[in-house]
Amino acid sequence: MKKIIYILLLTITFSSCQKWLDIKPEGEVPEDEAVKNQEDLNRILNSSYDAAANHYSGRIQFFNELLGDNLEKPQSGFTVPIYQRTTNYFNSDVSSLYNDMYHVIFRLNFLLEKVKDGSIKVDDAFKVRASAEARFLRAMVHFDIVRLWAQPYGFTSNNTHPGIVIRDNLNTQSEARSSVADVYAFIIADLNAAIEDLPESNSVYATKDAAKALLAKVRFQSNDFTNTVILCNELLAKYPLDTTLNRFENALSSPEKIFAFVSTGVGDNRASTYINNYRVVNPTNPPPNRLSKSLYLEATADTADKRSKYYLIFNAGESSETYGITKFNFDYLSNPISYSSQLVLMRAEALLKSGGSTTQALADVNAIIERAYGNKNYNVPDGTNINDVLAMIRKQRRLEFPLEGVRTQDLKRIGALEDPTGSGFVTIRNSKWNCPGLALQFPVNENTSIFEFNPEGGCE
Amino acid sequence: MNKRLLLLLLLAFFGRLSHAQSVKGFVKDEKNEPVIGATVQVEGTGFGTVSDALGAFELRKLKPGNYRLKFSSIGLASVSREVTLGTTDVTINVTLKEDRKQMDELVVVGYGVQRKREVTGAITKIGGKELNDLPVPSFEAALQGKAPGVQVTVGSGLAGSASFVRIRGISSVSAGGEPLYVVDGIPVSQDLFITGNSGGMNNNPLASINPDDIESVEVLKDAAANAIYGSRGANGVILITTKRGKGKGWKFGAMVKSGVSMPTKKPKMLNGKEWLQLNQEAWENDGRVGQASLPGGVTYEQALNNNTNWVDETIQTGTKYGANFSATHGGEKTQTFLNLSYDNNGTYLKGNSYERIAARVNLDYAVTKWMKVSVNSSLSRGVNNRVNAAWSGGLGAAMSTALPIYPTRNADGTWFRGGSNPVRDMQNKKWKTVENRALSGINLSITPIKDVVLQGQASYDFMNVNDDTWESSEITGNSNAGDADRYNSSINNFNYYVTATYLKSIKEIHNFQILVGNEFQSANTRRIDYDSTNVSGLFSENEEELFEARRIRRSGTNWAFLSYFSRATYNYKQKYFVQAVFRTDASSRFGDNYRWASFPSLSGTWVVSEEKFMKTNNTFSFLKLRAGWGKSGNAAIPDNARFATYNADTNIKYNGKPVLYPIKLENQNIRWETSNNFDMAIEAGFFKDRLTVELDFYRKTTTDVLMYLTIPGSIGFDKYWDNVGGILNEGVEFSFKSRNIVTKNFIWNTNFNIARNYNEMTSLGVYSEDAVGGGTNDTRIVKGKPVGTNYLIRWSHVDPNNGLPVYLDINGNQTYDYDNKNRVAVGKIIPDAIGGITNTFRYKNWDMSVLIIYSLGADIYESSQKRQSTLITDWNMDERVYDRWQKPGDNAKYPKLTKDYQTYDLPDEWSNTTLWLKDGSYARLRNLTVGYNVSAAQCKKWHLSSMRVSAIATNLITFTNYDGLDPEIGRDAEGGTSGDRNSARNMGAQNITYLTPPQEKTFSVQLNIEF
Repeated sequence: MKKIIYILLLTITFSSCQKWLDIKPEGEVPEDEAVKNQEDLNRILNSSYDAAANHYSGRIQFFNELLGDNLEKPQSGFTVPIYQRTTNYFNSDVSSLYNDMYHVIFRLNFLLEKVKDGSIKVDDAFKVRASAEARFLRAMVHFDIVRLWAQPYGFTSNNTHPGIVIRDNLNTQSEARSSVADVYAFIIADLNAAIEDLPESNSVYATKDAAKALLAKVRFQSNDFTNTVILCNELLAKYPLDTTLNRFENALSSPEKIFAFVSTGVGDNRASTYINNYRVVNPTNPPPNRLSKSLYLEATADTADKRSKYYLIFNAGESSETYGITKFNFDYLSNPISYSSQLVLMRAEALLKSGGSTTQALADVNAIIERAYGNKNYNVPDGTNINDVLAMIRKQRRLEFPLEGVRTQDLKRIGALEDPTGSGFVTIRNSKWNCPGLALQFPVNENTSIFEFNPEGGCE
Repeated sequence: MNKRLLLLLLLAFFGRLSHAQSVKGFVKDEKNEPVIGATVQVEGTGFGTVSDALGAFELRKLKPGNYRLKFSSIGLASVSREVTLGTTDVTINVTLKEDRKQMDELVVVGYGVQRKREVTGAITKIGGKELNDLPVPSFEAALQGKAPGVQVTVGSGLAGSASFVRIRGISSVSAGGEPLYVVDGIPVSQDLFITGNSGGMNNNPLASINPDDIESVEVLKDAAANAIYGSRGANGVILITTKRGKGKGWKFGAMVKSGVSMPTKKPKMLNGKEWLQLNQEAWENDGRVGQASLPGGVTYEQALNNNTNWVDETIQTGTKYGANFSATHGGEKTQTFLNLSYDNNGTYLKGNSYERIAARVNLDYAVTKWMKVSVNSSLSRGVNNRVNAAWSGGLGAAMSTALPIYPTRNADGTWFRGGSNPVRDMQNKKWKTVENRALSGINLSITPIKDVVLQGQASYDFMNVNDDTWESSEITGNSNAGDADRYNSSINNFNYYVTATYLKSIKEIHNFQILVGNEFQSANTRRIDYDSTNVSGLFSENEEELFEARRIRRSGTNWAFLSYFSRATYNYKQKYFVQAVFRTDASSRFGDNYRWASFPSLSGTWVVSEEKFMKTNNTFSFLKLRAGWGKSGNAAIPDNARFATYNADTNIKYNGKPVLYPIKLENQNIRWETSNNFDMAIEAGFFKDRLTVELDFYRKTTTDVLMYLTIPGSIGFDKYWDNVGGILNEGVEFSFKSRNIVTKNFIWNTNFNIARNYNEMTSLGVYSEDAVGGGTNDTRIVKGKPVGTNYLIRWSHVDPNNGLPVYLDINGNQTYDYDNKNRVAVGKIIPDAIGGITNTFRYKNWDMSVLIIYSLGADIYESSQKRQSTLITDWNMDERVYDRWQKPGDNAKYPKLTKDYQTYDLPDEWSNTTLWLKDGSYARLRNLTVGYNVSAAQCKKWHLSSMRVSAIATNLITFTNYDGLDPEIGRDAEGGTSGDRNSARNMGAQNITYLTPPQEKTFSVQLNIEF
């Protein structure tokens, strides 16, 4: 018996093998096992769309709207300081969006690096297409980060004011902010490369035209009207205006569609933040996030405008009167990102501002108005004063793209263009367009000796 | 391996000679019980043996002649006998008397026992009796105030919530801070986050260990003591030894108890009228006119009529009761201990209780003279009836969002839904966490040849936790029967160790003991979630619904440790002791480069009182000096910390196609957190041990501190594991035990201890104060300051002219501007000194025990008060708001009321200032017990061996300047991953309160009998 026991003890003692310690992570796969071939890289690319789609589901747009004049002050939570334009570096809503957006960039940079360094065998076609798609998405995300966390293009005459950290590699060190000029140059370089290499058609993924539409927006945001017009002309020749009013209803099938994020069902809803924020479940109960009186009044002033029917009023006449919109009353929606209505109004404004064809500008804005009213009776007549036409174009932008994050950036752009000194001529909800708090504060984890934070507050 | 061969080998090695006759007999103690393992030595020969399970010994093949035999055993006084051996065998029986000297008390040291005299490390032993003298829901709460340098903070009054146990300060940031718990040699599962931080608490995995099973608890504090646990000893080790069978024949014990629970302090919230007044005042302060707006959709008239006291709606007088039955048996070959316990701890929170049913069997069986088998097995079931508390509702809601102007029900009898309604939540939610735990070990001890003991132990600690919730259609809002969820976790923890011990004494002058061993531990956690949207109650009440429910597997954990260790002790004439320990550990959590690490220790003791020059000294009955150095480690990081990993879930898709994405950055260089320990101590006994004193100095420097760092989010990830910086802990511990008065009828004893710890973050590498978050952004690590420094903007005063807050900028100048750049280190969560004093009195049949615990110099951050005393939000306020500015000239503590945080120049309503930082010093009458022991004569009449009735009060009185609810406080630790959570427990939970329910005050009576 003793013999057996000794053998047992000795066996236990000396068979203790180091292999026992090679334990695989639970529920996660190590990189060397996960990323082995072109198909894996393709999945990473797909995941970048996936993540981007989640952040563009109305979330990035919501942050823009909170800073602007389309929403009422939120009830509570960290969105309140965004609305008050007093974000500080502990605002967890702000930091999670920031981290999430750069996380998409990390995926794209990883993909770009792997495709480039040849450690994984890929075919040339994939290499060209995947790199171009990655650069398209990377530009898109950088563009929204710089617009939310930095003062706008034109805030300083040469745009040397601090922008954001440009991430075009997998460096894990802290980096300083680049100037807004450099960030825009980086975005434009990425988009030009994407336009060069993207295919004409690419399922639901980025195409040449998707990159062109985004570039048009970047040009427009930087008040580069000549290039805006060139790009819009090219695209509008291919993508005519739809006849229906709500781009969210047919984001994928509309003739206007240039780029959209695709939803396949309730569990795969890429407009989820829009729907969660604004959907009116019960006509007597206001949704979690309510519209501002200013938007409601402007949008419903003219009942002949069919778009006014989207708006609802709750507790009318009471102190608790508030407003909602029914545009997002769906279980799920695909999410239109770039479409012709945007380009039409961009072109109209760009033409007017760059001394281009006023006829075309008028035709563009009237195309939108005519669609909204269902007839030509409300069109802007020929010979209308240019400034009035411009005002109408800008009003149509507010009414056409409510809650899509357009309004605040429009006001910033217009401020930089028409009120460069911040005299108070152009304001965003009672604050000068260039007040410090209109740029979100960076999260505290950027706090290193080389990183410059935004000044806080300073808005009304 | 053949035994004979082994013997031969060993004999050859030690050069033993064989002789002719034998001396045999029995070694017994005063109770005539056999003494097992007593050493029998033939003085002057180095020849000897060990007594067997029956106390029998035999020394064979001695040549005829005169010998002097020495009989010794740990805990018993040695005896020598002269023997004359002729041509026949000689039989002698010896009785060893108990050696009551405290210094010869047995101490469990990890893989063995030592006498207190020879212990070279800092170990505090607490007997089971001391632990069980007060009713605590979990044993670690009973350590409070009893072990110097051991800080136990019971987290809150919630049943089943975890305590904070810190030994000699904090030496970790993100890699836990809790000691290693070892029950009968089994490092047990001690994950505090099995159920996350739901309901405002972290589940206490130790609560399923039955306090009634415990024979003793040893706290290993320095590296000389805990280096034998190597990689996991850095934060100390707590060894729990369960009771075993002893004596002769059967003995039985039974206990019943019953008691009540109430909060140590009740929150004093405003009533409806008062709240409306303040709401109006704030409204007008903000420059508005007319009636202030009301939340919750109630009209002014309704608001005035409703006056709900939500505190009373959520608390009660809790009831507690329990019973215990134990049986011990000592037989010729078998010792048995059986224990059955039932314990129901109802708290003062309505619907909250922790119920434990536990059974234990410990068996020792001497198979042969040279082989003993022991089995330890316990089964326990903890049923935690959960309620929401703190931030998640219940009493927490009563202290915040449940406004007194809200009713519980509308006029038509339906639940009020316009605002927070904890009564509605409570009655429409069921929540039960059931833990089943089986902790079993089998131990085999063999003495193949004299002086050599081989031991092997295999154990298995299995835990299955079902966290079940159910919400009625009232809450879910749909017409189904209700939503049921189950979060199931099962933890398998396997462990074995083998040791070989060699004892050798050369003429009793040179005494050696060498232990070598090998240990392996492997544990995993499997998690499965179930949910269903149409169940009429908890899954535990509707088991059949589980088959229909959606089932989701979540990722669990999986880790292993492989270790080799040895301990060598040497003493010269029981006077000079030297101990060397070496342990080397490998952990699955580290990569190949850093997988193995070694943890050596060297320590020594000089028993001065054994010296000749001390023998005539009547003052000292004992004097011992000890010093030690050692290294210990910490590896309590997530299993996957070092890997760059990708998602394994193929269900995530975009455009219907699978995705693959990175989860985190790689760091293959992550390595052990290492502590270097020095300890020096004096232990002394005076006047025949009437007074014993212990004084310890220690210095512990921790390097390569494991931190879950916040890194710039623009990198693509905002968290990263790395080894950064260093921590220093140094301190003094002093304790004494004094038998002040000892007469026939009256005895008065005092036990006192105090510990002072100095803690400093000596380096933070390249990182800033915000590298590791804590609390509600109120607590940080700051170079040159302790771990868990309150890093805040300083509040100066309220401007008497306008009622606005005046802050201090970084230079100490007054300013109205609130700017995070002005944060400074202003407080700390670690106390300067902690300790306890126990006085016990015995007068004839009566006895009384009084325990006072204290904690001095720590701060408390009362994070939730900002909305209870200044800003009018959708929270109720407490009576402290009375001291506010109302008109020019007022010198008030709190500023003028406002509904807009920007009035105070705050960026949001959660902003921190030192206004909410409080002195957290306290002393508390933790326990008062009065007992009556029925006389032996009376007991005999009733056929009992003893009987005792006692009345026990806990947390009776608290002395403190803290104006919140309870100064002994810790909130639950929140956070996304275990790294976050551990950081949070070390510096974001302890001494931070966020609506945390106060401790319980309990009164109970208890009856114990033995027969």
